This record gives sequence, structure tokens and C-alpha cells, in this order.
Amino acid sequence: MENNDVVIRLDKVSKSYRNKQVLKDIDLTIRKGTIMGLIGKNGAGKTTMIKALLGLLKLDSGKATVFGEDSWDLPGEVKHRIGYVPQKTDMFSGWMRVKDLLDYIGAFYNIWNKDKISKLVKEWSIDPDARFRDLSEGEKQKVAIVAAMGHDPELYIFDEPVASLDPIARRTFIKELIDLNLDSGSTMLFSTHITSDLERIAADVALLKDNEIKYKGSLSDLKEQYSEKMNLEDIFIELNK
Amino acid sequence: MKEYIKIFRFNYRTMPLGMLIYLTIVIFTILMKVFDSEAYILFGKVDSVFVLVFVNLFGIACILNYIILILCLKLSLNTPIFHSVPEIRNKIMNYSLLHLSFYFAWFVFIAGGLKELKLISFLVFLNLCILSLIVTAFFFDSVSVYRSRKYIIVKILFHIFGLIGIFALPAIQDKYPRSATLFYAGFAAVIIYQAVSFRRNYINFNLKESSENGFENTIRSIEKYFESMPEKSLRKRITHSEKSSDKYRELFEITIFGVYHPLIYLQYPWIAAIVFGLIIDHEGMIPFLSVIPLIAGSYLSLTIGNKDKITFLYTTSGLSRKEFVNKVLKTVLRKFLIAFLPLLPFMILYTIIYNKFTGVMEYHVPVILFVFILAAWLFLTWIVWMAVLQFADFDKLKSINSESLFSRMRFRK
Repeated sequence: MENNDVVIRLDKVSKSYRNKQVLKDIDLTIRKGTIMGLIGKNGAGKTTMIKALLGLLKLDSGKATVFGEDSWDLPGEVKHRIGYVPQKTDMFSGWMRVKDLLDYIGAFYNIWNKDKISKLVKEWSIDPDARFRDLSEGEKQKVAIVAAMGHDPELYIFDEPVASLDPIARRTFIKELIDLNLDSGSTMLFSTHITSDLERIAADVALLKDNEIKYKGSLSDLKEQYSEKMNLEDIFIELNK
Repeated sequence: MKEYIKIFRFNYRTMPLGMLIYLTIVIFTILMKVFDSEAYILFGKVDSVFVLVFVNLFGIACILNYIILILCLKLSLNTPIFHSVPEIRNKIMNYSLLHLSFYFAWFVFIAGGLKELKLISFLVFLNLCILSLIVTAFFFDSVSVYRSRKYIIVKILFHIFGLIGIFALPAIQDKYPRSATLFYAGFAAVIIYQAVSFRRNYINFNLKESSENGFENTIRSIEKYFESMPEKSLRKRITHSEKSSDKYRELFEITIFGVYHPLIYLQYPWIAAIVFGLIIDHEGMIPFLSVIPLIAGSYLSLTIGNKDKITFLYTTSGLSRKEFVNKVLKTVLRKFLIAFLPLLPFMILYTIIYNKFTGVMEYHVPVILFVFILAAWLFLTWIVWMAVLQFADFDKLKSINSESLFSRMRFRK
């Protein structure tokens, strides 16, 4: 029986592209209110795992569920409980102005927190009148993050959301996530290369290496296994050796 | 010389398939000179599949020529490898001129076998008008002089003269050879003026100026008006979708098809006129129909290129997979049906006018042809979108697309 507390469950999930194994027998459970950091080298399978969770690709074997539902055929109401920030922002219509794009995305949802959106746009110094295609990569990423927050989702899935952000924007973003987690108990899956950000935000981490999860558990437990002087980046390098 | 090779390599890397134009030119030249010195195949009657393929390949080579030209003039300046090359604008301009001269020399060489001066004159005028139109369109925003009243008048005059050259001159040049020669001289002078002006503006980097007064200001206001129209329409449609019982259809349409200015509907009389003209001229219909597979191929590539947009719609919509697939299919088919239907009254109107003044055409001919084209297009759309949506793996489809020939034709970033 599915535990009500479990938001994401991957059960022996495998996926390969053209005979190249990307995920192999992955097991992972993320409970409600958890902030889970997903780390791994380029090509480790982080994005594939996220796409599998969203039903954007079909698994070779195993089962992925989100809120207890098979991710390949998520019901509409479950999809609206998820806020997804993709690695690339090509999926938005570049000809729209930022304010129109956000209104357009808002129209998909039954609940759309306009005040929160306006506040974030202002705080993050996003020009609402600029056309999306004219923004820098970092600004586009900010818009994507804001757009994912408007419908107050219960689960956030971020695929390397801070890669193009400057340090100030990264800090603001992380602060926002912590606030969201504390205020509404949102669950977050956060894939990134920037391990220092994970140290600020994530309680749990999962390390993907050689198509498998090499470590999953709390960040503090992981750190305890290594010297006190080592930060997460050093541990990450050590684990990937 | 090294720089010119660099520019060639840039063009090749940006559009590998486009560079096949040079190979096509060589093959065509050999074939035409060995087997068809009078250019009968190319400009004669289309009476076999071989001729059909030949004519279409020739047309594609001509179009690619202009794409490469614009690619070279417009995109190469944005490439970091050229930033440090001294006098790069001069060199790009020389390379483009060389490419264009080569193309025109080849074109006249091939068409020269015709010994049909009227047709050669028609084709050369047509090419010049297309070239002028393409260059103006691509540089209108960046070259300030194109926005001046003087230059716009020159351009309008050029195209009026060009149209006379295309349609009227071949008919009158036997009767009035002196006037025809004068016309050619005048037209050549306008071409030289345009070429020199373009070269000066391009090399001297006379790009967009800040002066916002007079005629330029008027043009800018008109541009702004046209730019703001889709935005107003978008906001109206968003508001409307919120109250609509079929909000996802309305929202999907915006992402898949965009929002267009209502003036786009002015093209219907023209499209209907072209189709009607092709019905009257059965021979013209054959090469037209043979282009359909090419259009279908590009359409397929464009649709698959929409994968990111489909991903966005899938993750954002509150629909299950099955509901989503059905909704997208219904949206796309409905949109095409609505887009095609206005052609029918125009085609019937043209038939009435045609029957009144010249020939006799039965009314069921354009109607049947219209229904046939519409049905074929809807079927193609259904197949393509089903392939896009039902494909088991979004990423797999994307990786196939990235290796397809059509996507290799696209500009790489």
C-alpha cells in the first residue's frame, strides 16, 4: 500500500538510449516536505530521471510514481500539483513579453497567485515588458522559476535551475525555496552541479554515478563519513573518483 | 585568401546541406551542356518524372543560393571567429558578391542555351526583384538608409520597373527595341545605385541610427503598431480563455500557432488566385504538385521541432496523457480547417469571373480540388501530430530530429 507521505517513488527504474544505459535499477523515495538534492556529473542521468518522473519519456523497466500515480500517465490534477523548471527555457514562446507569458501560463491553472508573481518579478529585477527571447539566459531562468511558483505547487522539480544565475540571484532563489518549504511544507527535487547551493538548502542528497545511485541519505550523514574539513564539493569529487 | 576560406567554412558549418548548391551547380552544368544544350528540359514542357525532379532541383538550388547569401551577410558578423579579422565587412561583401556573380553567370550560362531572349530576360528580372526584396527585408531593421523616404521611393520604383521587365518588356521588345534598350540601361543604373549604396552602408557599418524624427519616426510608429497588435490579441485571448469552456484549446493554439495580425487574412485572395491560376494552366499544376512532398517534409520537421513546446503544454496543462493527445489533435485539425475554408469562396468567385469573361470552367472543378487539397492536408497533419504525440519517448524523437536532414538545414547557434 502506498504511504500517503511519499511524494516521489522510483522502483527499479532503468532507461537506456541507443544501447547506452543512463539509469540502472534506480530506487528512490522522497517524502512530503523533503528537499532532495540530486547531484551527479554531466550525463549522469539527472535530467533523464526528472523527465521520467514527469512522464516525458518512457522507462525501459521499473516504475516511477508521483503522488502515488504512475508518472507515464499522470492525471491532470496531479500535474497541477507539480511546479517544473526545465534545464533549458526553449519551451516558452519567445515572442511574448514577460508579463504576458506569465499571464498566459497562469491561465492554465485554476489557482494563480498573481501577487506572489508580481512580488517575485520585482524582487528578482525582471523587466516585465521585455520580450522573453531578448532576455539573457539567467533572466530566462528566473522567469521559468517564477512561472513554476505561481500555482503554489506541492512538489517542485528543478532541473539545474541555478546554472545561469548570478550569485545574488542564486541566494535569493535559495532563500525563496527555504521560505516555501517552511511556510507550506512543499517537497523539492533539486538537480544541480553547484554543490555549495545544496549545502545551503538540501537536507537530503542523492548522488548519481555510473547510472546508479551511489549515495542517498541526509547531507549531514554524508559529511560525517568524511573529514570535517571537506565540503560537499570535495566529497562529490571524492565519490566520483 | 585565408579569410575567404574561413567564410566558406562558416557557411558550410552553418548550413551543410545548403552548400550542396555548388555540387548541384556542377552536376546541372554537365548534364545541361552534354545532354540538353538548348535547356529544353529545364524550361520546356514537363512531360516525365525525370523532368519534374530536374525542374524542382533547379528551383531548390536557386532558393538555396539566396539563403546562403543572407546567411553570409547577416549571420557571419555575429560569429566570434570573425571579430578579430581586419576589414571583415569588406571581405564578407566581396565573398557575397563573388557568390552572387557566380550564381548569375551560371544561371545565364544555363538559360543561354534557350536562345530565347524573352525568357532569359524574364528570369533575370525575376531574380533581381527577388534579390532586392530579400536584401531589403533582411536589412530593413539594421541599415538606417533603408528606412529613409528617398530609398523607399527608389525601391518602389525599382519594383515597378522590375514588374514591367518581368511581364511587359518581353512582349514589347520586338516592336520597340530602342525603348527596350533604354529600359534595360535605366534598370541597370538603378541596380548599380542600389548595389553601391548597400555596399557602402554595409562596410561603413551604417546601422540603426538614433534619429527618431520625420519619416523614420513614422515607419517606427507603424512598426510599433503592428508589433503591438499580436500582444493585444494575446491578452484578449488569455482573458477569453479564462471564461471559455474549452480553455485548453484556446491556450494550445497560442503556443502552437502563435498570434497573428488580422492583416494576414489579406493573403487569402492571392493564395486562391495562385491555386486558381494553376487549375487553369494544367501544365503549371504538375511542378506545383510535385513540391507538395517537399512542403510535407518541411512541415514534419517543423512539427517535430515543436517538441519543446509540446513538452511545455503537456507539463502545464491539467490533462491526462490521453486527454492531452486528443486536445492537441483537435486543436491542430480545427485550426487548419479554419485556415483553409476562406479559400473556397474566393475560388468560386474567381470561377464566376473567369466564366464571365473568358473560358468555361465547371464549378465542381475548383470545389473538388479544394476538398481534395484540404482532405490531404488534414490527413497529413493528423499523421504528423500523431507521430509526434504518440511516440513513446519524447527524447528519442528529439534525438532523431537532431540528426535529420531537415534539421541540418537549420541555422546552428
